[in-house]
Amino acid sequence: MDVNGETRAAAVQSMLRIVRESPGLDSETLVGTLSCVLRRH
Amino acid sequence: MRSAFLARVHDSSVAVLKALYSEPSVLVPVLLSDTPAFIKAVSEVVTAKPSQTSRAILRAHISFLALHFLPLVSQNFVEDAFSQVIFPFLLFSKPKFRTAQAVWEIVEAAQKSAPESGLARCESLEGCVEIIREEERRFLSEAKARKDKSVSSAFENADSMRKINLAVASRMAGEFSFDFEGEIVY
Repeated sequence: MDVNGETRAAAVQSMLRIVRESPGLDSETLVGTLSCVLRRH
Repeated sequence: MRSAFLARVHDSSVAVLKALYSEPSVLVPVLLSDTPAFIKAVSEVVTAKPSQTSRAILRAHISFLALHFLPLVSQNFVEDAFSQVIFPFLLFSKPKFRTAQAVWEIVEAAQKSAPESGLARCESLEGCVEIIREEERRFLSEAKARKDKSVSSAFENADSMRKINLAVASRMAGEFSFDFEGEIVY
């Protein structure tokens, strides 16, 4: 797998984890958290 | 969040798609908040350059759609998804018979796993899996009688492909019924 693919797959898994572990998050908080995840990857 | 997931539907990496579709119970509720958007995204991916889209990518999208998403949406969306995403891959041809075979296997699995919803209730598909399985049985039984071991699958045989295509197309058009002795009755 290409490195960018690995990075994007990891980012997707992080996004799924956020949704799974934070079902009650409001959309604003979720967007903020997601931005952090995507920047990290 | 939904738009971030939808953006990844267009990803050309199989690993990314495997990750995306790895937790249906998490992803499906997100996508259900805009059902047409997900169907449109998958349709764009699979039909944009079908000759360049690998079977693994098609399988990832169509499996998730058929097995996890469509059983939870209303029937008009199932018919939309069928015509935009699934139908283009159902007919057999020499270069594409493996893709058609894979898609029919997914359709059959989806109909078995959710017999009261999704593709099991898709009017256009009614009776089609049975037609294919019957032709496969007939072909294998005839090959066995001839002691012919050269072709292992009915889907590689040009005559079987032609019969299946004709039968499925006619069935979808509602033109004939199929008796289980292997004869097509017009």
